[in-house]
Amino acid sequence: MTQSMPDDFEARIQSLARVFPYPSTPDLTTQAGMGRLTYRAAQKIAPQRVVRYALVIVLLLAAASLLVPSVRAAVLEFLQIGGLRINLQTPAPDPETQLQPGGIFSNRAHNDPTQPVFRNQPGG
Amino acid sequence: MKNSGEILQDQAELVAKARHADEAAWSAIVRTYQEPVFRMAYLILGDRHEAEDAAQETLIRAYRSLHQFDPERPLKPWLLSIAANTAKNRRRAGWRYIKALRRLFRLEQAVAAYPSEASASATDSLHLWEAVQSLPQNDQQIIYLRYFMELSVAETASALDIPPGTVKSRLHRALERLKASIAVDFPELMDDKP
Repeated sequence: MTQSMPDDFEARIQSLARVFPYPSTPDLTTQAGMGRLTYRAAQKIAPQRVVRYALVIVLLLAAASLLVPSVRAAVLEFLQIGGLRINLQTPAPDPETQLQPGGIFSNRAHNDPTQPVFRNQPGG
Repeated sequence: MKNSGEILQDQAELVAKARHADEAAWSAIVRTYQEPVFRMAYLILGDRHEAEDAAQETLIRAYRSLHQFDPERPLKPWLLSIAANTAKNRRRAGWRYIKALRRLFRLEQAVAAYPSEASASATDSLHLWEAVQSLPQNDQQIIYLRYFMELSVAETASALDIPPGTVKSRLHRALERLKASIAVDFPELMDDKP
């Protein structure tokens, strides 16, 4: 490949680049100094390590607790895994038996409507 | 005046001490190279505050990678390559379009701030920067390293981790593209003024 770029163009670029108006350079000796570096490193690494260790401890505790049968049963109960639930309940009361003619509403229909109706009145 | 061998020797000693957490040695390295590192970041980012953050990040990354650095090689190109990568990553990150607009706005302000005849070369230099920014990233980086940072061909090769011959050919192609860009957008730059 021929290097035919005119030298004057390159020289012009060089001379212009040399006078480029950069902003003043800030002092980075404190920002990137050794003390700052170790502080930043500690800041950056410490939380990651803490989270990692905490996660490992929690997982180990969870795994260990599953070795205890009662805990394991409680967990399975909570998660509702591996069981069939049978609920033994008394049958719900029939609504018709509550609204029979002897009830409070029927009493009100047959009696004097001007009389007040009392719930749970004896013999009602 | 020290020759390049003595400078390399001094630099190797500083690096060796800094590796062993010698604060004075690391401070000396930061003091020596903070200006080129900041300037390289500024050329890529075009924003003083972002360049400062990028320069700080560059030095921190450099310190953490100091054990990987070959003390036989010059430190400046190595630091500048980290600075260029850090700045490029920052430019690629979010808000890049807004930041690009801000850059353009600041560039126009900067150009307007140099209206006098005395600073005509500074204005031309800003126009050159604008023309360089229109080139592909690889072209930009090699032009910044070689002409703005004034690295030698060997140092540029060290920064880019390519052979010196490749630097010359890449530089040649980059200058051709730059010349074409300048001819269209800033033809006044072609007039060689003192």
